[in-house]
Amino acid sequence: MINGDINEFIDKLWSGEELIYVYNGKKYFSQGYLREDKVYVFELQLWEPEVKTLWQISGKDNQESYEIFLNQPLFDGKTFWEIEKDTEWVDD
Amino acid sequence: MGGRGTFAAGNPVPYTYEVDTNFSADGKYKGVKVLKGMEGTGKHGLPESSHSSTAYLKMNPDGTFNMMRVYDSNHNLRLEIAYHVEDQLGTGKVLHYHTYGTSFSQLSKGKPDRTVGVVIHKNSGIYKKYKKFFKGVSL
Repeated sequence: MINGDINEFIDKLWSGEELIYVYNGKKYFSQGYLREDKVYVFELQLWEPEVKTLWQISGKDNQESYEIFLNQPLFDGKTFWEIEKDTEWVDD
Repeated sequence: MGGRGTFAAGNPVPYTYEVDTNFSADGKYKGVKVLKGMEGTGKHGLPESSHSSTAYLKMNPDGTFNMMRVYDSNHNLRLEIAYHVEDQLGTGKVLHYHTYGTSFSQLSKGKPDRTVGVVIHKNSGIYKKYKKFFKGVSL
């Protein structure tokens, strides 16, 4: 991971904190939260070049959501672990 | 995973953030400490639990508001206010908040408890209480 500690990043990913990161010129945002009905939602949004929700999972707990997310080819056909070394953690 | 040691849990946790003095000599904005991750620590955002303050601010490089976190008397994170793009909340940057259960700062005691984002409107109590910190925010 560029400009960040991967262990810290993964810890925040697991607990649903907001994360902003850039891979291959695209800016991504991910977070997890409990809806009003207490269902946990984890989502990945694209922020640049356009804003849209790329992927979302609900009904699983944070651990399951996190594990499923890490195995999805969401980043130009690659999984997070495949892009991690070329991904920059940014603040905004 | 997620078993971070926290000050809220009574653990000795070293400082990995430092006061951001880019905006004022005392590192405060309207009386609240502005923090940034210490060089080389890989820290972003604001801490999951507080040391001595009940709130911290994160500012953008141009001095505008980015994020505020509010903690309870036991150092647990309870409220996060942020201003950024978020699909599903609106168009462009949106001022919004998330609340946190006490277990978030003490994950050994439970699962993360972070609520869905809620848009902050000008007539809301949260806006009236914290608006002095929202430099550069437009609603």
